[in-house]
Amino acid sequence: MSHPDAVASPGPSVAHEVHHEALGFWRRYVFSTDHKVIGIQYAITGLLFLLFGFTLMMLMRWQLAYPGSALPWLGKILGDTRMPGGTMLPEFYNELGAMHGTIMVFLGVVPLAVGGFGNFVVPLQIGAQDMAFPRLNMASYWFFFLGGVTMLASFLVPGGAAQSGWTSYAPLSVIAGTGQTMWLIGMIFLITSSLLGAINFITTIIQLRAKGLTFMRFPFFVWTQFVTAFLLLMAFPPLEAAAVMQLMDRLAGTSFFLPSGLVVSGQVLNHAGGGNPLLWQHLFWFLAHPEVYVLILPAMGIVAEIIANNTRKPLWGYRSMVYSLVFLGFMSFIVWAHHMFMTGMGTAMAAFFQTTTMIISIPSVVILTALIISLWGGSIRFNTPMLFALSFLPMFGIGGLTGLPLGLNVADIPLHDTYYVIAHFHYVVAPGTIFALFAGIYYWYPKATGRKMNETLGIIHWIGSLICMNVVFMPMFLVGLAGVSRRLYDGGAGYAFAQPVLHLNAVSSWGAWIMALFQIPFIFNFFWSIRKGEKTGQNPWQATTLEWAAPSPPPHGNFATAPEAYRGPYEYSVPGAAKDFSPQFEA
Amino acid sequence: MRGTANGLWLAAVLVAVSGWSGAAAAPASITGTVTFDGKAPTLKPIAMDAEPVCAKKHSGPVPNEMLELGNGNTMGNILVWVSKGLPSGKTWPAPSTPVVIDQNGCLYKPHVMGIMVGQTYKILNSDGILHNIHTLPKVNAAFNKGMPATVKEATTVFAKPEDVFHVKCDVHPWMSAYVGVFTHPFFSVTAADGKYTISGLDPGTYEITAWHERLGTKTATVTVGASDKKTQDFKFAMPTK
Amino acid sequence: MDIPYTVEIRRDTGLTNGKIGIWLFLASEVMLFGALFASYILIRTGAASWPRGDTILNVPLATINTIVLITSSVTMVMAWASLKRGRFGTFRMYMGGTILLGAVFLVIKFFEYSHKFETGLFPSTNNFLAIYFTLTGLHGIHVMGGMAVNAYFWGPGAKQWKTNPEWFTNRVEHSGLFWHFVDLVWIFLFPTLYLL
Repeated sequence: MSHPDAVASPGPSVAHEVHHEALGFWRRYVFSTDHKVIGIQYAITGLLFLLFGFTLMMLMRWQLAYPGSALPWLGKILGDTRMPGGTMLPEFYNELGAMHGTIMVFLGVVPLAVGGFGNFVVPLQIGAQDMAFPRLNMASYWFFFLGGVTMLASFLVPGGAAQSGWTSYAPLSVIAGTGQTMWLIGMIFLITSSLLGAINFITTIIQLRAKGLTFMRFPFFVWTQFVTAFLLLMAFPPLEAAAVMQLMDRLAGTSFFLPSGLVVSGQVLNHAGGGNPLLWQHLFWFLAHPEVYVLILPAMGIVAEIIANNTRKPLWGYRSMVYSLVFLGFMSFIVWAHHMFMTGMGTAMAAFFQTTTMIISIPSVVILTALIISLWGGSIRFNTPMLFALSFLPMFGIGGLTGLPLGLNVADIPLHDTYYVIAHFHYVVAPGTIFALFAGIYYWYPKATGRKMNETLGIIHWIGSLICMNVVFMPMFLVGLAGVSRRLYDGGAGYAFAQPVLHLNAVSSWGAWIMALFQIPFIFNFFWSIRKGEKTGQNPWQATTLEWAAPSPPPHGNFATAPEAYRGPYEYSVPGAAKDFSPQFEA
Repeated sequence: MRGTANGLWLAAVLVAVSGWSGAAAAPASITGTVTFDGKAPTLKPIAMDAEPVCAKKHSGPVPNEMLELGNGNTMGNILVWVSKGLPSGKTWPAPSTPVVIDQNGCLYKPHVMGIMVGQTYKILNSDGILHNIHTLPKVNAAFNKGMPATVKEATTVFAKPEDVFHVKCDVHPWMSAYVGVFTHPFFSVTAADGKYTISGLDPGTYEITAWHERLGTKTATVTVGASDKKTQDFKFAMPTK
Repeated sequence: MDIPYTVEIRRDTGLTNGKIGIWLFLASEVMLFGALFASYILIRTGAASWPRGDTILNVPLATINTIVLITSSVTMVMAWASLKRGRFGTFRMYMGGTILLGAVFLVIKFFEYSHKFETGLFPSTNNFLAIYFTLTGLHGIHVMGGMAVNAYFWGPGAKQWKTNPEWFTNRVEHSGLFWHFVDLVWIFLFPTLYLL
């Protein structure tokens, strides 16, 4: 059911960019200020970094599955400083670990979820021509790019990349090699990118929404991007301050994070002392906790869109979902020290953070439950986006529930820094967020390209990824419960208590390597469908939100005439209506 | 008769000359025994519980390398060297044979060694497990190398002379060794019998230093003539409070 | 393309895009300097001893700097007000004055810093100096940033007064908000570091 490209509705006519077609290749496709081009730039760069981060992990998993065994061909490529004779050195393992985390979180998921999906979809979903600050948008992308290049380049400096964990705890990170300095500089670029982007998103959503599009008529995806932008805006600057202080410690010899009398390799460090390693932890986690909500909220938004569309029903509990979302945003700033239960805080502090952490689980449960209830009585269409969106629900459920013992001080004692934690957060972010991002790619691909991705390849990608994700991460709960710490170079092989669960390391590794194979149909599908995918019109999913009023792909300026919102975002199966969906943009 | 007298005279001169140059070329040496004065303390054996693979390489308790004593309280692991008296400006070539240190039984063998500037330092890993040799000099560049099981040999060189410094393993905290770097070959490490020998010295007056990793250094001055074999013993004792 | 509400306000919010944008940016800056002040508190309360600011730092110079910055905020407002009244020449004068006062601030800071270094006082010397140099250094970078933007509006950017005076006036106002923020940070820095 496609509609004519020009939306017939009263409203001010949109001024077209007269000169746009006259711009050369570089200004149109590389240094563009068009939110769609920038969104695709973010998405492709983000996907490439996800692939790179995945590769780092696959390498780590060799060492974990078969500790100490050699890969001679790889040893020749990577050289003696990393894999002499093909055996991984512990320092290189640590580089892989720290950079896997950093790249996946800051260069992969957030740029794809916020920079990619946010940039491409939000202006379309609110009926705008572009973001409020198009040039700032372009600057955001290039800061991200610079940050990414800095992070990648850090692998090549003497001493290698950062190797003190993605958390860069002091004092280890302060005495570490040059790679850590580059990590800090890279983070400053990335934070700048995010701050500029956040300003853009918030302003755009408030100011450029179409006539009739009140806040409570926003698609849930727009709400999630709105709250996410506030989280980025307010939570990142303390990490920026911390990064500046760590740079001062490393380069100017200050002791912000270095305690007095620190002994390194048997020698007392020549520094003023008086600093506090815990200060770094507080500043880091003040960002990093809201950061995990940055990772999940856009994903929830994507899943909400796809579920409403493929059940042909309005979302159940939209209002509750929105209130929960806003409440979650506020709460996310006062739970951070649940990452620090083992630092010796007193019972009062622990009680406070346990309480806020338990409270913050409520809005997440409300949102998840609303999404599940939304399925009830729906006419469910099991296309690829819906399959990924549906599997997000139990996967995020497992991730969320397994987080509960971690949020309780006493239960956290045996679990902190074990593989249990790794399993918990990967469940939320890997078969959680990343599945939602895959769903979003399959869902909005037709809008961006005018063609659908191949359904069969999509199903293969889905089933393989779903099974493999569970093969990788479910055993890790058991490994963690047995007491195996994270960040161990040999995966626990040196410990007697770990022997009964060691074989599970190999299981996880094989799960990961096979999961890599199942990404091949996706990568192929992504590029092949640009030219050979089934052509679609403006609204191939028969959806209700405003982005489907624009042509596929939308031209510069998006809409021939400015759309107007006449109703809520999910008016599906309205009794008495001619079609099973009543788009927002139809009078 | 006159020819024979000339011959005898010539012979006498030749004998005198040969004896004289022989005296100039004949190197002197200093030997001695290092002993521990007083009752030796009993030190705890080295605990290798943290790495069961290491513990398995030893059938009994592993004696602490800090105090290696022989019969009659003779001390091993004492580094003795010529600290003063060598002609300045003279250079001695570094031998082409390397000084070998072996990571064996999760211990460094030998525990104490001397090496010349520019001489190859050959590091072996006979244990078949991961070691990480980490030198801690103050003058030379520090050296830190991970040697997983597959890496059985590594080499390095010290560019500058330096007082004795520590070598440790970043994986096994009990592993310990000491190295002194010299511009000359006049150094020696005692075995359990406490005996050291420094040979090849030109006649002269020298200061000899004996070093122990915890009990400090002791010096003595020795004068040697051509072909002299002098003895210089050293005694170490527990520090008085 | 013309992005709506760049110059005219959106009726239901009463704001232009730039106005929201600059306030959001300032909110993030509050978090940045707030984190540094919080760190100062944590380090100071955990320290065995902490020198009083006036025993190490130059209070008279910093007092002058405080007056300089406050005055520059006044000239900044006057610059914007001149534009609101259509007085471009007066704008030029006041904006120039603001930039000049910013430069005076930086010059005085330069003398302060050099004197510290000459007497062997560096960030690495102790935590008081570490936080002093970091806080004032980051603040100084913000002063430079504000000056750069103001210099742009005084110089090459001023062409926009002819083509779109309302937009130009708004942009100067936003730059002024940033400048006031930088001044406000100093007003917290001065007593915290120099007097307490």
